[in-house]
Amino acid sequence: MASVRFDNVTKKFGEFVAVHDFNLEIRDKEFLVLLGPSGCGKTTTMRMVAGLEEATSGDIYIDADRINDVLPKYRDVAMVFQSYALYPHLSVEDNIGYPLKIRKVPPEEYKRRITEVARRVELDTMLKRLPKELSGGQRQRVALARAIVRTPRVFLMDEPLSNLDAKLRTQMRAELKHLQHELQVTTIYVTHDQIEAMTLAHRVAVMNKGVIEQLGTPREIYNDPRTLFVAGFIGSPAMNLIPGEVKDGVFVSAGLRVGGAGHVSIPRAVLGVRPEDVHAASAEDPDVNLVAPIYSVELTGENTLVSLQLGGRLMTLRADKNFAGQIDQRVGVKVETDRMFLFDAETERRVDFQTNR
Amino acid sequence: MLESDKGTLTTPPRMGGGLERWAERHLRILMLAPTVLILLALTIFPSLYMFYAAVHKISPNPDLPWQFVGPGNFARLLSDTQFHVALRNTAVFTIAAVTIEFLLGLGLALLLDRFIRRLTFLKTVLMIPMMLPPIAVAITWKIIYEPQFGVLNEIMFRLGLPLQAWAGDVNLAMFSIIVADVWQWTPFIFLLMLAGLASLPVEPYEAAVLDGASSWRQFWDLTLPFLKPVIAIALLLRVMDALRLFDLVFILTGGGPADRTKVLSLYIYQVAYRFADTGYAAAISLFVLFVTIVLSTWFMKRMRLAE
Amino acid sequence: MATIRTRSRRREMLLRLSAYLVILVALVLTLFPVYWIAANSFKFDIDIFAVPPEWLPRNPTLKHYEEAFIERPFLRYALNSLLVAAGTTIVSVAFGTMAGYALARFSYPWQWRKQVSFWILSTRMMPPIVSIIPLYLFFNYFEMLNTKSALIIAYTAFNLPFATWMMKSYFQDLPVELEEAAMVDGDTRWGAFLHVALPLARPGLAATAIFCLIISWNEFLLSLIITLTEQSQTLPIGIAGRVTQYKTHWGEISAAGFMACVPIVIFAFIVQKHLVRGLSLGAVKG
Repeated sequence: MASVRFDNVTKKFGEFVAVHDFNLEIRDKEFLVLLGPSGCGKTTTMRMVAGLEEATSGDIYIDADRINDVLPKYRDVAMVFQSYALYPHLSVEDNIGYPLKIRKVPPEEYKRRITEVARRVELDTMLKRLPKELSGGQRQRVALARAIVRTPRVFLMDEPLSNLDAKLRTQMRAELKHLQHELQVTTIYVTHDQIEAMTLAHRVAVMNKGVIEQLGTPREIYNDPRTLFVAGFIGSPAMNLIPGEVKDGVFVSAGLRVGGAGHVSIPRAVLGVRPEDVHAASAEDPDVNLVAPIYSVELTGENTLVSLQLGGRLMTLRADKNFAGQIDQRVGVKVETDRMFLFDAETERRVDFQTNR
Repeated sequence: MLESDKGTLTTPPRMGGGLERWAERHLRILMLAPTVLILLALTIFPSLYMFYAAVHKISPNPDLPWQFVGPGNFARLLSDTQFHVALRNTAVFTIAAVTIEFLLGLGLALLLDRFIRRLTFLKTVLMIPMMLPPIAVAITWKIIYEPQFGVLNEIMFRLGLPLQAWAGDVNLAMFSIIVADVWQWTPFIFLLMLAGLASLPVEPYEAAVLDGASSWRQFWDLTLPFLKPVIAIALLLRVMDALRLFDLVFILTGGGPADRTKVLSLYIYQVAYRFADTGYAAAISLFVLFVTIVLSTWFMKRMRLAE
Repeated sequence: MATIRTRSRRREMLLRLSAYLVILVALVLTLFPVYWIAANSFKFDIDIFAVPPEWLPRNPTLKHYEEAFIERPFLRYALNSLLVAAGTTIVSVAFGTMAGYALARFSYPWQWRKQVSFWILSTRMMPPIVSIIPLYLFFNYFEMLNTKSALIIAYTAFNLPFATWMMKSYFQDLPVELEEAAMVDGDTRWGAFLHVALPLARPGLAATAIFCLIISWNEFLLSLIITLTEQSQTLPIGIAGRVTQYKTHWGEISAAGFMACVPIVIFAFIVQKHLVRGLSLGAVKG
């Protein structure tokens, strides 16, 4: 069991900085998710733990051991690849047993471990098959089995669910979470899927352009985004981000005025509010914050997503599934002002924002 | 935790032994080095040595010392009419043979692609000529061209056409060499073009049909641009092979008659081993090397083949 | 509408018919010369010279095979060819596989990967006549002329670049994650190459080896210059030696030539799936 620590780690590919001055400690038995768009450096960060990439500068530790110069085979980590990376020329049994064979595990124990792990991932009836004879979900299980067969110090998972269809992905997600809880092995999990991040992680590190934008529990990340990037990246549909100006504590944008930011003035500001914190109302209602025409109405089943045309951009709100509005119809909008976020567009950081309610 | 983890299996963190570590660190060098060294020894070293030989007059008698002549051997290239003939013959052969092979191979591929795609066995049979030993091809055609009892003259006779000496005829010798080469190497172009055609995407053609493009337009606007990389490779390899033509000429004509089929490779061979003028042969070789390097580099850079 | 359909169907029929006709003609043209050398090898001399030609051997005989392989040392030539081809293939494939893997997988500073690949390819483009003079002088100096080792060394100069490029292209087809998985699973980089990449590239390895065998078996010019006696002369040299200014031993060279073709045709069928890649030095994947 182990913790992983990054101290000022930088990784460059030629001139391109993939990971910049990265500091992070992953605690023992923690499930940490690195979340971010493609090219943000999350996979590179994980590959440095595996030893598949070398850090340009800085130190990486597993427990107290500095592992920068340790060959991958001595790091005792296990990795599940996005493509599963099953050895196509080996049977399921030999695939799972490969890490044991390399370590020259005696035959009885080899047999015992394989049987146990195979039963656990429900592959015990297909041990003699080749990977190409398996379904996507089964291949995924083989990859998992190969990782857990030797109880490594750290699990690394690189988008392990992204090649599965939606239904299977949901099921495997639950299994993964359960498995990690059972095995109690420190896990680093890379994904660009925020639902996976939210559901699986103890803590999420949201990455962008090689740095951590925010580190926190899924709840913190969602309820308390610290930067404009995190606010925009987390949540589906995305948070409404309305550019405007703050003059003496009042946010002003086309068709919208919200007060309450003390007495600060910010020439370029962004107001953020999640679709579920915006409610539709009658256009005649005197309490509405603004009135706008409907651009589109999309029923998702559990809700209706309503997009409104607001000064050349769209504002989305999550309405009741029985919402009945027509395109071009004007509706009133009530914004839960205490659930709004204000960002400085220059620094992209959050600004404290109190409503005068 | 797994049940079986009661007995521990975690490898203690080690750096790995010194030798293992060193080998892993330098693996990219260690795996490449033998090939690079062998090729350096077999190509760069001979080239340098050849340059050294080319500035000397080398007597056939190995006991006599080499005599430095500076650029003398290169100067001879300018006035040596035999060399000019060989240069011309090589150019004629290369351009004619490769052009015919290319047009024939491409044409056949376009015509037959749809019909032969699944006839793998037939395709392989058609590929046989280019795999055969050139020497066997040469003697085969020697038998066919044979003026007295050869098959070709039998056909001419049946058709009521005048009999020819073929490879022995001043005007037909080069033609005969080209025919044999075309027989052997058209399948090469054909095969590569088929491979190129098989890898063409379907959607652009469907889009073109919907847009109302004729088959002729489709060929010019889609097929040819898509095939360009394959065409480039095929032509490069064929030109380089044609420049080194030796076996066919050696057996079929020996360079004759009247030097009509004397190509560069054969001329170098004659200068070096019949006239034992090694220094001069080295100078001609350097010239040929220079031409091939310039040609192939230009071609490969242009077509970005190296990656 | 109906007229258009019938017309295009007739056109399609016509096209199909002419295509099959062309294939038939191509087959005849391709196979006739091969057939002819085989047919002549089974004829008595007098029948070879027959006018009009004897399209089918009327009195088939193995006389020329006896001449070539028992009276004359063609068996020896064939053995030399085989030994030289095998030696060249082993050296080229062993080193070429490693170099191909390195060029497919590793990164080098200053774009070396590209430069070295390019340089290796260009050595393959070099005409053999160009390197033969220095090699001749070199072998002469070390008293290696007329030896099979000299041939193996000379042939390696052409087969090694070929093997390197072929194997490079096969390794590039393999997903790199497999080797990464092996390394994380506890293997070294070399172990990942040996246990994972190499077994997966086995079909490519076999094809490359067969191509090397064919190239060496077929080679003529280098052998012509380096070898002097039957102790090291290869099959093509033996055949060419029976074509002289005064007399060509038609039956004998037909027999030997046909025997030289047989293994090649068998090999061609074995590697048919890899033909395109082999002939284009790995550049076109068939």
